[in-house]
Amino acid sequence: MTRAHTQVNMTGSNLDNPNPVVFELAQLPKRTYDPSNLAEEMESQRDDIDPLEVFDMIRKINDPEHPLTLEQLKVTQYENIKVDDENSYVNVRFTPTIPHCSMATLIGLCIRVKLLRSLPSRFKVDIQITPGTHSQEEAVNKQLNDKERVAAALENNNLLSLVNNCISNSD
Amino acid sequence: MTTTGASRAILKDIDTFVGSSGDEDDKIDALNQILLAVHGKKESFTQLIADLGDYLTNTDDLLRARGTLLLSEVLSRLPELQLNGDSIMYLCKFFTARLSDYPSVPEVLKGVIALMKYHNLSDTVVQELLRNLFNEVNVQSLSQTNRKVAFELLTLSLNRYQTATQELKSDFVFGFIQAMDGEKDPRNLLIVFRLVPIIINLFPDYTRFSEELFEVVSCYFPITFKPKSNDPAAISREDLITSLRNAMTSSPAFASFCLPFLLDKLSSDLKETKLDSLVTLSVAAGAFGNASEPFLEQVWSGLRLEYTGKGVVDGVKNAVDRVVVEFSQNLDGQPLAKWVNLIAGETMQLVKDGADPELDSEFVRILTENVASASKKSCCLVVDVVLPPLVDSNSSEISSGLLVKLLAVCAEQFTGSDENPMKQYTEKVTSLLMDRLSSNDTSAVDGLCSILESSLVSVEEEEKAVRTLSNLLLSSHRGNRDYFLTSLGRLSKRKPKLFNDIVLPSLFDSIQKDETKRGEVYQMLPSLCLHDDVIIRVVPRLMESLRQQFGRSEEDPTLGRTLYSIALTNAKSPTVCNLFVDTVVVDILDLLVERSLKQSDAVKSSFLQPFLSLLKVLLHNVGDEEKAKLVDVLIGKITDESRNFKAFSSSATASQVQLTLFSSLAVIYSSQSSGKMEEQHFLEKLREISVKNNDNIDERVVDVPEDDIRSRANQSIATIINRAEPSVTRNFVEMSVSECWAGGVLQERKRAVRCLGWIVKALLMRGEAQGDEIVDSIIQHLDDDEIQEELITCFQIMMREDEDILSKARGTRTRVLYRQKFFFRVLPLLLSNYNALPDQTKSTRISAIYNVTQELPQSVVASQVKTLIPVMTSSLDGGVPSIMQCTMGMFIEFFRSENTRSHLKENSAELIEKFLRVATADSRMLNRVTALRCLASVADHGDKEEVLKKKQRVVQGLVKLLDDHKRLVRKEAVKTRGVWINVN
Repeated sequence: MTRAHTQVNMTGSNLDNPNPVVFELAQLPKRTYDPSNLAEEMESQRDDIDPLEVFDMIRKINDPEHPLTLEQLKVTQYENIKVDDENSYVNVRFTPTIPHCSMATLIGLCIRVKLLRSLPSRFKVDIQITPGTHSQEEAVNKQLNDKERVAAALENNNLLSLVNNCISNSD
Repeated sequence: MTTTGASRAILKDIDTFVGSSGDEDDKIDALNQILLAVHGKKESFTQLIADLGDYLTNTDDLLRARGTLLLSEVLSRLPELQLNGDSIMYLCKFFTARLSDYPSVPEVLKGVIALMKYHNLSDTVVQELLRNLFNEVNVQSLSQTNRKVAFELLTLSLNRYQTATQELKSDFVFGFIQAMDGEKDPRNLLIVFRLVPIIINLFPDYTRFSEELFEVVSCYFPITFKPKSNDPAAISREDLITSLRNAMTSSPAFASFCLPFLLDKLSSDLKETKLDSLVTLSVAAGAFGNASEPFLEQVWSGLRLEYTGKGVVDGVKNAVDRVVVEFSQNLDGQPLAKWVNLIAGETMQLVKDGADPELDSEFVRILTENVASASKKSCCLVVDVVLPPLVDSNSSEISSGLLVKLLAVCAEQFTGSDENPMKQYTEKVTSLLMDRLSSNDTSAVDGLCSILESSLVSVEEEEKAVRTLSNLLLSSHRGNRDYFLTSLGRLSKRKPKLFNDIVLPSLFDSIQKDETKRGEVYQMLPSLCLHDDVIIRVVPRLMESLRQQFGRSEEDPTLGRTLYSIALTNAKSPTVCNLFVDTVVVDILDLLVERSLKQSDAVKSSFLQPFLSLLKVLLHNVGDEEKAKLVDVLIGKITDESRNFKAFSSSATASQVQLTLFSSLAVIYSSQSSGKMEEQHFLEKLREISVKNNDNIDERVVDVPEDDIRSRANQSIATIINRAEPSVTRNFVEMSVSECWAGGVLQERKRAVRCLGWIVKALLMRGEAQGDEIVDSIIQHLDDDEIQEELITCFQIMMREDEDILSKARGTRTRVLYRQKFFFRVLPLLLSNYNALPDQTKSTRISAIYNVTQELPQSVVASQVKTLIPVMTSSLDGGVPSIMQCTMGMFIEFFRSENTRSHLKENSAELIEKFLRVATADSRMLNRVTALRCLASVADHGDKEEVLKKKQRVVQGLVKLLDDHKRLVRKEAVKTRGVWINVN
């Protein structure tokens, strides 16, 4: 797994990772909407919710520290999303740019909130840090998947506006 | 009685104006009363002074100043005030004395200006005034406005009392220097800078103070001034810089101060200072002329540094070039020789050393382009310095670059003149170049051509050289052919006869000897045919081989392309255009007609394309008369029934259809109408092409370069109708209309409707009533199922604008705002009784409206939004998918545009509900998606209050769509829901 390394802090700012590596966007499976898809006979056919659709929901979430998307920093990746539409289950793994990133919980919370607003309520959503990529992996995972703690966090107006800022332009 | 009353009133007004109490409005009123009284002769000026009495001599500074101000106001506000000589004298004396009264100087200056401007003062009075001004008033101690008044006074005295002022001699110059020294305000500086050249011109005595004068002016250089955006005086940085520049260079006597000063500034690291110094230097070069002589070494070494220095800033090089050119143009005699020697000597040294080829070529460029090109004199001087060593040295070591460039400059400077300084060196230079040519030095070609252009050699020599060149061209390989082509192209422009006699025959001979050379030669021709005489010779030859080629199995497109390129490069020459119109186009058409009679298959599009492009170029460039003639000829040829030519019948062959295209294009791109009977005939033929079934068109047997031959025919029809007199085309139009509504082959009917769309467009554009009538009948027929789609498209055709077709540039007759007028007329017709109509009709009408609004500026549509909204809103309930789709599309457009947005605000609540219902309940995916987009638009642009009220409802309502069975809907729902959640 490629990870961004902290470089010398040139700006002297207080950011956790002031110089993250920006990646080329990965080639994803292409989805073409051919016109026949719009034809009436296709109207009744169901399109399953698949990993790409879920990835589309979270790829453009902004990083809390930089004007970059999670996709550009390879925090979220297509390969790390599992979807089981039939059983209404989604699993998303994300990779903080550095192992001691204090923003990991906030990033996880953004993904959680975005999916909460975008997926049908029947889905159970698990959000985890990609194993071995963060120093406090377990603690963060626990926090992100505890419904009550998430709800409590979102009652904090400051936190909520932070989250809203990150996901406001994510389509 | 009345007089005393009036006087009393005046006294009161005087007290109010002069007195220290009272507010500003009262004072203005009082002043106006006094002005009226003096103007209406109720109070004489002398009386006024008497009435002022004590105020003018009061010991209170303020009262004294106000009293003087009243006098000044009256003088400056009443320009036509009658004053006798004594009064003027008295006033002048008064003001002159008062100049030493510091507290009232501003008021006095105002009065003096008025006196000088509106009354005639004697010379002695003016001189006395100015002397006192210089002696008693410290101008720089005054406020900005008053300083400005003082400078205006000086300007006025120079303009109006020139002789009197001039008599002050150096006193004036010195006084001026003192007055302006230390001035900081840009508004005043502008006046001062403009005064300097005038003073220098009028006072030869300035030389006593030239250093001081230059010093007080030059201290402002370089000007760094940023005007404020709200500056009422609107002084621009450029104004200041130019006036300062003119002031600094206004006298040759400044040369000894100015040049060293500028050279010093030139060494600055700031780009702006550098550029400013360079531009000023070039102005100085012009202004100082030979006075610069003592500083030429200094100047050149300063400029040289700029050329050779590392990291030359953008634009600096151009400015340095400009300076060199200016010096070379404005110096004369000995100084010019010195200047040229400086630069030429150094260049020769560099070229001889050959250490740095890049620097060499830069200096060669400076010497040839800047110095030698500047004037004939400098050119001769350069040749005198450069040529002897070049020719004498066994110059195989020296590159021929300098020589070639210099030859070109000489050829340019001494066109048609006998004084070419190269003359004495011709023999040596020619043999040198011939040597070079044999050792494959391509740049020598250029040099040789320059010699030929300047007619320096004998006729035999000339012919010999040209023959060598043309042989070299033919044997050249691709890599260096361009050299020969550009050089010989130049030659063809300057010496067409020589070119025609020697180069052309050898080119065509080479084709005859070796057929494989044909393509190559054709490719060369466009770069060589640059003179009318040459083209007149070339074109018939080309047409001859075209005739031979026609009808062969494989048509070669090179020839067409060559003809097109020649026409394109020479399109500005009327002779060439007329030649092409008279011979080429007509011939090609003849050939096409003949061919189509023999063979039915089409000519390849790659072959035809160059001719179509050629036609466009010609129609763009020839005069109106020629255009009309061309169109006439084309139409005449094609409609000529006697030749059994059926280009327009339904049985037309592929090659005949191509011809139609050819002539249609001619009509579309020409801006002329011939208005002859053939044209009507042509119209009918075109209609047949446009409407009737023809397998050759439908199955695309015809390999036509333009995509759709039927649209071209329609466009031709529209172009002709727009230009012709209505009486001529009326029958044709009526027939076209009736054919649409009568039954018949369905496919043909549909095409007839499209054709009608174009006809109506043409009529509407020129504001013809017939057009409106047809539109009415189109609306009546909107219910006709069979041709409904075409009728709706008609509205699009009528509204769409195209730069190429029926545009003003093509000479189309256009009524101002015809589209807007059409919209306002047609909208009520389409909406009349709308709610009572059956669904199907509603749908077509909404679609027609949609098509019209799409093509109009939103600001026009905005005025009618109020009428449209009820109809659009109600059609959201209708459940007819196409109506809903159209309507929602219009809503999105309306929300997007600022002009229309505001009209929708009051309907926000209703619209949100309707969109939400369509999004959640409609069975068609496309409708759900569009409704979601509409909802997002309302959130962004709708009424904020209503949106906030509905936020919870919409966010909740959209939950259902997150699990929609179509992915597109889900994606749109996620987006729209995100927008609504973030509303606050």
